Amino acid sequence: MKPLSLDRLVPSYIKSFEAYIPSKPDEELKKLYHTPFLYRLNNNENSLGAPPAAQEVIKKFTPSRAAIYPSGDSYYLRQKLANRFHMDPDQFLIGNGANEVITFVVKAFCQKGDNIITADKTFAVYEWVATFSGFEARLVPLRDYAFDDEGILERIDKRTKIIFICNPNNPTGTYWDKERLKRFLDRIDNRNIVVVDEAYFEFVEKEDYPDCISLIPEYPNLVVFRTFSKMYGLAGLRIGYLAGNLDVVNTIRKTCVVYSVNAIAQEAAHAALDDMEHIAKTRKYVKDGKDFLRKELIRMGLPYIIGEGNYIMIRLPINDTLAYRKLMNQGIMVRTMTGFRFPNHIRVTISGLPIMEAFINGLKKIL
Amino acid sequence: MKTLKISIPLHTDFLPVIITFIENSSCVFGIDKQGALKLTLASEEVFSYLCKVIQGDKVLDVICTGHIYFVSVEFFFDKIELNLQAFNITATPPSESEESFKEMGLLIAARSVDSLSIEEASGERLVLRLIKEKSYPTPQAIELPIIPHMTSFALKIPKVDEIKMFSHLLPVYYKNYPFPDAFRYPGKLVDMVSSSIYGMSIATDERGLIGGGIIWKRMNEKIVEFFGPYLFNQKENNQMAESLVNTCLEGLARTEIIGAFCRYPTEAFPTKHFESIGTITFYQKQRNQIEFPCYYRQLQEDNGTYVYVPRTIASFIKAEYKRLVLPRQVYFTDYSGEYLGEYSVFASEFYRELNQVIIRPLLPGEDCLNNILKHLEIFKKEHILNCFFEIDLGIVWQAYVVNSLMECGFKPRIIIPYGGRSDLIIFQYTP
Repeated sequence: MKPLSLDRLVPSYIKSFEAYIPSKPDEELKKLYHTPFLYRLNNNENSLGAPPAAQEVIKKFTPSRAAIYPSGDSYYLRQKLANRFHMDPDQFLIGNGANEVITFVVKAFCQKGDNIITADKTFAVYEWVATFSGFEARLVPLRDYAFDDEGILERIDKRTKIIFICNPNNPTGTYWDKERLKRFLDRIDNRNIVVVDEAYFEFVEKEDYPDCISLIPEYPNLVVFRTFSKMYGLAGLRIGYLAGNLDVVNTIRKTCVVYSVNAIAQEAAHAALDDMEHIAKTRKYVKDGKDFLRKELIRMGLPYIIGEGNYIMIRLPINDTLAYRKLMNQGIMVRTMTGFRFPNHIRVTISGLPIMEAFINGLKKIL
Repeated sequence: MKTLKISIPLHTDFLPVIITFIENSSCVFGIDKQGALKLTLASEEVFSYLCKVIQGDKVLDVICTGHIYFVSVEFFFDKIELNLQAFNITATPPSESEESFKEMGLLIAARSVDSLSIEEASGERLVLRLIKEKSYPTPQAIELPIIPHMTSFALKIPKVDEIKMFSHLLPVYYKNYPFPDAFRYPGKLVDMVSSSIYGMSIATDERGLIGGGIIWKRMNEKIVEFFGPYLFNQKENNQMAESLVNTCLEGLARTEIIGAFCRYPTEAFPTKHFESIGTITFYQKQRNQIEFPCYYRQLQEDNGTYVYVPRTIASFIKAEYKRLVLPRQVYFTDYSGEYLGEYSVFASEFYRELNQVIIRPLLPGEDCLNNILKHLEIFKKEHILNCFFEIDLGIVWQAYVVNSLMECGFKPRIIIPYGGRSDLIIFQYTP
């Protein structure tokens, strides 16, 4: 038998791409770092968990149903979203987490030689999906920690297909207000698909923050991402969605992998959408947590970047990866920011006050 | 990068084909005549050697690649029981035995090129790689600009003229400071940077004058070694130094690089954002010695790894892992008399301008202690004062080399997390 010639089989853009290695399971990390507990402050999860109604759905899911395929296109969830936003159910696509819908969009619009545009210091998956699919990811530096509209417009050329805007931006928490976003969309003038990732939409209370789904009738090139992983506490079930103009979504649907969203996720998400009290409670603890951290960080003399969303970024006087290891030894897991191109910064998920206090105490010990 | 490839039967009848192929390819790829002849000679010796030791009707794949500043020749062949002892720089000229004449060719090959290495390739094959660098003219003195202290500056990837200017400025401002000799050759530095093997960033003022710069290259697939930051007339410009380092780190983010390492930090080096991983002593010809603390930082979260550690250095390793807060599964292991093969093989990488050699073990062997002693003898004769030996703690047999190293006077100096299959420990010899 001839030896396998991977060199010949693998495209060059895959060869040069490095696979993302996620962190080990908590139990393994606890053993490695000799800690009996672990506070997860690294993934911006909701420390309240899922809304009670969604938790009930999960509890009631009978094991025998595991043998049955789920709805292939999340039929009932799309109906519910359509009612909520007064749109057609076919204007929604549900994915196995928002990460999957990023892939759908890139596959639907890009071909060899095309490019996408996003920021250099933002959620990494837009850049990754484009790169490992063989398309150029043009990265525009943030300006004052926010997406730079002028910089993006300058980088557009005839082969630019998609512009990804993370609003609010992860990890800086900055956002474009409605006026700025509309001005940008007007200047794009339907030449490109504009994706606005609203993963942290439900956390934002500012009045000038745009609800992009409501702008879809006005801007057919606008595609909006939302997720059930953050506010709705269903990160472990992997479910997110996109919304857009009917023709646009019908095009994206062609690249959509049906049956990728499991039955529990669909039903839990369906139940979660009704719970407004959960959103209020979450917003309250996030606000309290931010207020507490602000005071403590000022007292410690540590610069921080705080905006919308359930996270805060802190600049440390030591390197972030060392801080990560030292905090892990105390059972506190944060996200290092060198990978987001913010060396010596950490991002911390806002949690309840006792955990925030434990974090601050841990931070004091290592600095 | 241009590549030429031939598949050729392993038989001495085809030696003229190899000679013609390498000679013509290397000339086309821009190596001067003398360099092309040396590379051809080395290739001829390797081919002859492989013809002798590989039995049966086999076909050899030979790839000649023209890189911007060097040419490489790679020989791909099935894994065989090669006697690689001749790769040791200590390999002696042949005695009367037929066997030792076979390996004399490899010795000649190793000494005719800038680098000769052997490693595993895909599909159960080995690749033997020869590298010959192009030669560059000696730099001519030029009139250098007066560089003001810069309160505001911009970071950028340098253009050709700026790389050349940097190359002229560096030896002036860092006269007695160890840095790779190649940086002194403007043309070579330009080619090294444009080859993407080296990365570079500079800080300039509004007039385009260069206030400083930083250079980096991959040590291996996971670690980057960087040089600098070098500042020109920017005493205590911490902001510039830090910005240069950060721009390098930002450029490496979202790549496969796990760590950044600095062997010879400059005064401007922002130590607070790095971890001290030990100290090495730099011995100069005048018998002066300078202690250099080495710095490292990871670029990713540490998910832990395993290491094989001989008991002789157990306390050192334990203390270092505790100090550096590295999550490691440590397996203590000692050589227990099993047969390791007759001859150990070490690869030696020379940095003549630094009087430095780095030795890496390729194969274990019963003669390990003697082999280390023979290497030291040669380094002594050649007045090489800075001898380092790298042990990969992720490879169990390399742990067995440690006792011999310690016996010969090497001491563990620094640990580079993920510098090898897992962590790399660098031993230094005290001359």
